[in-house]
Amino acid sequence: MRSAPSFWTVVRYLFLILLAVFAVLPILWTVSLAFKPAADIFAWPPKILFEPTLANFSSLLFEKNALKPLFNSLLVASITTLTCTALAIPFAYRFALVQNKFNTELGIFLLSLRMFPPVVILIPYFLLFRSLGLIDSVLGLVIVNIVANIGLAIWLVSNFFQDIPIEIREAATLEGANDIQILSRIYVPLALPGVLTAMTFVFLYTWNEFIFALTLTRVEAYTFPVLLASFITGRGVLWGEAGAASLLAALPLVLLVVLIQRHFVRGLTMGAIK
Amino acid sequence: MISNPFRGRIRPGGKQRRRRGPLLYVVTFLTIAIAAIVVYPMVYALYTSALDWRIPMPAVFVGFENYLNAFRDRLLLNSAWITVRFVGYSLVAELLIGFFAAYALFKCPFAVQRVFQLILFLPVVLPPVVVGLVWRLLYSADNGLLNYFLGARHSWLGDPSLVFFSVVLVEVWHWTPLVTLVFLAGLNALPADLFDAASVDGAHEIGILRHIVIPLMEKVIWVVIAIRSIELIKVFDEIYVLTGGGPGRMTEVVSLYNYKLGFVFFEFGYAAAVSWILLIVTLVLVRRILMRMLRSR
Amino acid sequence: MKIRAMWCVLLFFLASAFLSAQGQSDNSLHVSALDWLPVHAMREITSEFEAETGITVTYDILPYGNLRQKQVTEFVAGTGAYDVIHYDLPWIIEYTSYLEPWEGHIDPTELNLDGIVDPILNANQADGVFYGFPVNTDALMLYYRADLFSDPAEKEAFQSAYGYELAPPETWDQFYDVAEFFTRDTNGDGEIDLWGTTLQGGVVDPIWCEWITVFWSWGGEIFNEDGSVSINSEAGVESLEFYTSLMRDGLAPPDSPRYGFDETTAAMQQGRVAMSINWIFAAPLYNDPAVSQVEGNVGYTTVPREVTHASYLGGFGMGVARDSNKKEQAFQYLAWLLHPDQQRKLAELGSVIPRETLLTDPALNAQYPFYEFALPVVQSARPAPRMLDYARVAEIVAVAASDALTGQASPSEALDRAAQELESVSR
Repeated sequence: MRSAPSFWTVVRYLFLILLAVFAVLPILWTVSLAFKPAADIFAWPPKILFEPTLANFSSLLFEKNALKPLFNSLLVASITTLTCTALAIPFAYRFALVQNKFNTELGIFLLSLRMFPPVVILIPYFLLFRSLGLIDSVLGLVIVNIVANIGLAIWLVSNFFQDIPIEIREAATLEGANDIQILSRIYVPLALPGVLTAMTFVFLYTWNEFIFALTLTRVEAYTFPVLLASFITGRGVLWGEAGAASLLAALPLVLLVVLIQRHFVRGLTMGAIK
Repeated sequence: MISNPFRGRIRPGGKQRRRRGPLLYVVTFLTIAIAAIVVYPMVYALYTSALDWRIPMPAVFVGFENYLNAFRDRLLLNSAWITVRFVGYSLVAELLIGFFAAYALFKCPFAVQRVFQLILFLPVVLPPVVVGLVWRLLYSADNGLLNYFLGARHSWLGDPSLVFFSVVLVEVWHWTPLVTLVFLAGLNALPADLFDAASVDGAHEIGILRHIVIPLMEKVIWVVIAIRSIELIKVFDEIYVLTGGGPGRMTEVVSLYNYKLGFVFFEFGYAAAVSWILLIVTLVLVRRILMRMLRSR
Repeated sequence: MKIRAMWCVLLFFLASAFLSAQGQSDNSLHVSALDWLPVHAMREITSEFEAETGITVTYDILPYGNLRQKQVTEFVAGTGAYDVIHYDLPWIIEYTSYLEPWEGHIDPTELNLDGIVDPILNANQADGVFYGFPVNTDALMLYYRADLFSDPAEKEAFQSAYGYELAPPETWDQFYDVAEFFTRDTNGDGEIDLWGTTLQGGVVDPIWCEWITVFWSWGGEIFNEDGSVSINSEAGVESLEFYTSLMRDGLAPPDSPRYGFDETTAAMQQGRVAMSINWIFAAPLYNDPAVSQVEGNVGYTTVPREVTHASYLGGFGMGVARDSNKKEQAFQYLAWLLHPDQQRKLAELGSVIPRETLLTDPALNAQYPFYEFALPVVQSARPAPRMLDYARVAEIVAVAASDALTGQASPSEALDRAAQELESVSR
């Protein structure tokens, strides 16, 4: 026996549906752009129904050679994510174990790396990379992205590590385990949500990163956002191709999120709250 | 689950030798490497900020002059004020909408929550450049969807009285889902018996919210404020694509102004000084927030 | 297991580092160029050059917003990454530090420079030294809906309302009248859907080019002979007041303060405006049936005058980078591009080449009817102020014009502020 939904329940659902529609509508519009023929894009009133075409995709893949930047983005994002995570774990471990003023300050410093506006770091890195021969290279981009994201990764993971009771470590040490073993077999599995969260964030930020890629690459290592920006041409924005490219750009991220969704959401706050 | 990872030597009780292990060396080495790669550009930027270096003219050492000029720079103050307003409005909107959305979701069955989680992720995942481009088209007075739905012909990005709202709206659209998800996870992690009272009616609920739920969520809230503040102060990609700072200088946030200084006017010295000022301000601000957050543990 | 994972990562890392370090050096000429039809045309015919000489040429294409940024960044770092630089003419003064002068590298007689329109030729040199080769040209013209203007009913209505014959406006007063006349609701739904004119109000370049043209036609100058600022002179205030009135009185689409080249072109293509000040380059776009609804109905003339006719001279040049290590090949390539044979091919492909012979050529005129106006417009067009801090000047003026256009400041306020800011710009 179910009573009719209360007034507030109705309000609640209405509110949520409105939000969902608001969130999704621009995305659906983007998707529609990808399949719209050029003339329809500028029509008024806006055309909701139209004859779909794959012209934008083919133009994207063949004329604009979108596969290369797509692959570069994938490469840079993956390497950055894995390396960042691998680096973050030892640091986070140290922070979790030794809580002193220095570590707190160091943590804040690393987190502050994200705060530095990319504009000015650009030139110093450019000069540095030039003398190292790293311009227009995947390695160069990876280094820059690691620096930009390592702070966040460490912070997220260490939040989780801090939640693991210290007794576990003491017990393991009593049995003579060394730190690397403790880390790999105990801490990381226990803090998996945090680790996956960190990885997702790093991947997301690196995948969407634009300014560094634009300045530090040329024709070999340029990434997808750079390609997207190139759609603002002297003749106007290539909305059709931009829509198609946006779809391609969002796809890996959506997949990633779907896959680890369960862990991810827990991961965002498990460390933050007790 | 905890297998004995040990390779054979068992030390029973007694005086335990602190095994320093390889980890400390790894961390130390990594610290030095990262420090080198991180500190170098910051130091270089600091050095640059003491120069009057306007491409293509040669650099001249001027010490603090750039910093002194910054305080008298009307354009910098203008962009700072714009940034403050932008961050303020966006943050408040994201927190309010995010929290209420999370709370509304929280009361729904889990299946519904999962569906929404998936939907809400979509805006977050789009590259900022794309977000800017798409909303630019949506806002168009000529053929934009928004005007179509409202039956109006407003120039969302060209009308000075509307443009700020438009830009904040895009930012809120882009990131509130993330805030919602974080709050939702926080709510879900609260002890279940808080909401057991079957007789929870409207007024009672507000009381619970105000006096119990929110204080418990304090740390999460500070985390969100910290993360979002950092990103909002730095915001660039979306605004660059949406308005480029216009009309006039109405949406020229600090990072846009900094970018113009560095890469349109190529005044590297002054741009570096502005960056350092921005960094210090952000550092101080975030420190305060982080301290608050740590204290509320 | 985790350790092995970490080793894999490290290996991956090193492998990609190794791989990316390859392919850094090669023997082709690198061209940094704008993503634009004339550039694509050049790319297309370049294969012949490669076949003839064995020198490969690779183009690094960028959108306008990033082009100068990228080029200057490379110069600053001294990477020698680009051998050939495609640049917008206003940048020439700044680029004298980055480009290699022609002297000593190439014999002027080899260059086939005769016939190239003077303003363009001048725009590519500084202090009498040539730094760049003219590639294509562009200028602002006034486009109008010829079908509307020649319609007898319209002509009659206009005559009775304004007292003179409807024709493409010669003066700004006439321009205002025509714009006012054509701003109307054409399908009776209570909403205006046809506007008199477009306004390229976008900051920085669109409004900079358009309003400066209006300003110049009022006889205004940004700087006086002695270097003092005169942007807020009477001519300045009046011209800005006029420009603003077009927007304020609703004679232009509401989104005009955001309009750049593409929006402006689209407005005419979709039949939403009766007139439009736009670049020569837009002409073929109006007649492309795939994107334009007004093909065949667009006429062109010079931009109206107040005191004098003026037009902003656009166009690009190409030069050789000073830090290139393949200068001779680069000059060879550019000389090849300037050869009349290649220039003709480029013109046929759609590039507007600033050569008198080509602009008056009958075959090309048949293919591109707007050539008829292009030559005189380009010959009388003015280039942007030739100065080192061009970017600053453009930004300051554009912001002032935009502020006035959107009603955030009165024209005299905006211009006074601009004058103040311009004081500190180096000349």
